[in-house]
Amino acid sequence: MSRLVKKAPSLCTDLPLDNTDICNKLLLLWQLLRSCFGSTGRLKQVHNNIGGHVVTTSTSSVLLPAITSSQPFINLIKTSILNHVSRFSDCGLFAAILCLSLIEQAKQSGLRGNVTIGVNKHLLGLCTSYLQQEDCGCKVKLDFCSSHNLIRLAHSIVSSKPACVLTEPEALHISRLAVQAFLLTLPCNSPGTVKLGNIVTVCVEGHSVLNSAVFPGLLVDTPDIFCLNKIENLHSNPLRTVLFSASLAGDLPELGDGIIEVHPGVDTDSQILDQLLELGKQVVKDEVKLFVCQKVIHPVLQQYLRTHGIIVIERLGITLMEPLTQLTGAQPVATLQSTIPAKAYGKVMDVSIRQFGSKTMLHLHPPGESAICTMILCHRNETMLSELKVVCQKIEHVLRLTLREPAALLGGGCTETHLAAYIRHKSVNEVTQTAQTLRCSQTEYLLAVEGFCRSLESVATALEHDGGNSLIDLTHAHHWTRPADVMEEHTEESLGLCGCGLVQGSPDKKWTYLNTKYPQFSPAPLTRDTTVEPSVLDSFTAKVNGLQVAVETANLALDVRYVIQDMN
Amino acid sequence: MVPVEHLHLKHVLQTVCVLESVILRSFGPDGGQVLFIRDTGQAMLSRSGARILTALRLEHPIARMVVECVLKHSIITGDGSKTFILLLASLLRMIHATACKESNVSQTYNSRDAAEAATARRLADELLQSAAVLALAAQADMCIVECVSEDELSLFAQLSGARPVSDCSMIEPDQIATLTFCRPILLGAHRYVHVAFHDSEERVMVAPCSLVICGPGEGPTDQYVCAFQDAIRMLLSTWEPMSMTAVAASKRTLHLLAKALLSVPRQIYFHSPRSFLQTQTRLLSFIENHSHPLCLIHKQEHSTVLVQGQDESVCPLEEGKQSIHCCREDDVSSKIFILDLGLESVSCKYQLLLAVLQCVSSLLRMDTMLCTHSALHTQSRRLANISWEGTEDEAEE
Repeated sequence: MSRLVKKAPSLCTDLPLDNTDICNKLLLLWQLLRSCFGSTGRLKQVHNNIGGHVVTTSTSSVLLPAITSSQPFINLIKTSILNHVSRFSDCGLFAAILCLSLIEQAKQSGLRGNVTIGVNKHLLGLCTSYLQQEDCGCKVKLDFCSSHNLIRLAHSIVSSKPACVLTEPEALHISRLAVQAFLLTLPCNSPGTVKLGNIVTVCVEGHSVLNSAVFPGLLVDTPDIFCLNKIENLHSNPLRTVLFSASLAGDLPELGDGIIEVHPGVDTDSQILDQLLELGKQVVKDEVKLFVCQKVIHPVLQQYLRTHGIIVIERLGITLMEPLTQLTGAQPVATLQSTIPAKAYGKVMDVSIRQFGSKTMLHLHPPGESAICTMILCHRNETMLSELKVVCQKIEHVLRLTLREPAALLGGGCTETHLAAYIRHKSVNEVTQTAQTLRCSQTEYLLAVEGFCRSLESVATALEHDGGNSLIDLTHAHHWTRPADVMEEHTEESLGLCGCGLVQGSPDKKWTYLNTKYPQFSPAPLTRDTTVEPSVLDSFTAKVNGLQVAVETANLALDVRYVIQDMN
Repeated sequence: MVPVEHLHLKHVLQTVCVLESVILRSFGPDGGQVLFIRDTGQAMLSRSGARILTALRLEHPIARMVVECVLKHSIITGDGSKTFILLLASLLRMIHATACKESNVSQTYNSRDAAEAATARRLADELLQSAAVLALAAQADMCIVECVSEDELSLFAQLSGARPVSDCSMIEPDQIATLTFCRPILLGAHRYVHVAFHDSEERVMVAPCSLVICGPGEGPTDQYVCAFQDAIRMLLSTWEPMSMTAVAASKRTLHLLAKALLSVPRQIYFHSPRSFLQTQTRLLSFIENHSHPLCLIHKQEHSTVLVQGQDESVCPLEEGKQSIHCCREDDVSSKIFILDLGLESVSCKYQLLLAVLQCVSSLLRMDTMLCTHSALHTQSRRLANISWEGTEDEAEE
């Protein structure tokens, strides 16, 4: 019986943003996430007090679920960002840092919550409409005829996660592999509705990253060394395959639910075994060459099948069932009571053996073109390998998003500074009518715009972790970083390329530090020199959605004026 | 011996002030939202006064009584729950400050149930789901709608003028309704039947219509539906005629009431006291320029309907308590009052004021609270043991 406890009174918080506890926690969260941002970001180690799995990461998809706060207000913000990450899997840290900066700027400006919310909404509309325009200065069109941009996008994502600890050639190798795997999942010639395939990832620890590879088809773990000889003897292509999802271990409970009546003197085990062997006989008669089961196969049946020259794979696991079904075209057989129908058979073009360190794997080649491929990821230790796996899944998701929207945004903080300059310029021109529409004074409007732009710029400055300075150029509004120990006079020589790699620093351009006031200007579009390509790209869909989520979450946080929390 | 607590005005005031502090931040066009977190982790955001007050788990009986009054008012007018609490609190504060008891003010109180337009479903006999029946019906080209609830059944009967069938063997002519069309419709995950009634002379001429409201999740959609229902209730109560009563009341009482009423616009103009003073001066000059007799208008400045007096000068109108409605003989001068911030129903305001005054009078008539013990039921989560500590514990900073 549950204990009856008197209901404790609820905890009420008036104006949560004025509460010191909540403010401190927001600041802490901001510092935490800010320090993980970018390719020079610092790693965080997450572990439980009482022991358990230890994770070293800087990815928001791993970090945010591990953080919980006793303040539900903070959890509200965190859940909103996590929602974005689960849908788009990129730009989570960007959204979180922008959201928290917006809240901080709104508090510092001292404006009424409603004014800030209205102006934020208006400016968000401006940003999204600018980014959707054809001639947007920070948008790069992705051309699917060439793989360069795709590889560069993948490379930006790989290099933004320092927990993988990859050297430059290793990072390039992984990006190429990821793009290759993605392209293999796009079926080219299949008629009807296009169904994207799957990338199955296999992790191998202890080897160099450069040993990672991508194979079309499926790689299946097999401890079976007996069939190694048989493989070479197989000449007939294609090989007929049968796939079982039911257990063939011969245990009584697996036959079904309910009461089983047994006659006295009957040996149930041998009866079941007889039934299994019947199945085996049918399989041999139908000239099946590859016998796969999701669960365990009875050893007698295994031996029987092997003596007849059939390759047996057991304990496939549920994760590989769907890709194997897609690859072979076999329908998984769920019952062993009835005979196997002819249309349950599939086929595999070829079977070969691959060795990865101590792992022996069976490579199943697809008959014809298939959208299933396997990526083998190797790394020196488990921590880096798990981060690498997360990164590769991220890349796959981002590349899929580009199918819908073939564009990318300039990375390295250049999009943020460009947008900030654009907003400043546009809002100065439209002050009077916008202030009237939003029902605030012109001063209030300009203050709120300033807060918004400063938040965007603070995201760009968050990329710098080694004490350097952030600068913006006053022609194209791109982002530059300068190490702290460089002297003032050598500005022109020390500034190389901008954050995204498009603009070269030259003496005739004007610069200013990012946290100072600069005269507003309209950022000039770059002359599209096709020989110069940006080296750092961000996913367009993920970033635009991240921007929207950040502004909307900040607005929500500014709108909450009273919190009532039940204690039990 | 039953424990007895003597109620003083300050205890009542304390309780009401706690309620006021909860809804204060969501009041007005600039109001924010209240975030509720249940112990299950479920979160709810709302700025609707009725919803906030219902979600509060109150222990103190005075608080519960006040919330009940608010909700009853809200059911009729669909609006004004936060204004109710604000007016109540400011009125009690005034009274407490002047340290005099309010005299009995009796008002007539109009209350009427609001009639809503609702969906109608095709009625069928309550048959069991037997395949044979369905097959027969399909043969006879009939549609069957099963498991219709009692309310919908009675609504259907009312709208169609047909009587529900109780005895399956005999169906009489007056138990058959005529419909113009009937077709299935799929809304989200639910299946409905869309029907239209055939107009006939016996039936009352009301054209029912259905409203489909979509939302991202269950919580927000529920709030949209409630907001809609409140809006419809408010519109319906706007068309009600108001009765006017003249009661003699002392100048001091009116003075008190006036000051309390001013607290509402003061709260709305919280951020800019200058605009408050500007609007107040304009309204007063308008009233002084247009003297009696006054007639009804439909448009008013937002939220100040009844302004009877100011701190020093009492309006040279009448002493009795009478509702004032500014007249609209020339549109030009009234336009200066029509701000862009929205309109509110006069009748709702009237009822609101009546309800507040009644609530105040009943609160002030209480003088003792008796705490009784009853056996603890496993179902009820609120203990019958009520104590004073509940008030102080309700709001913790």
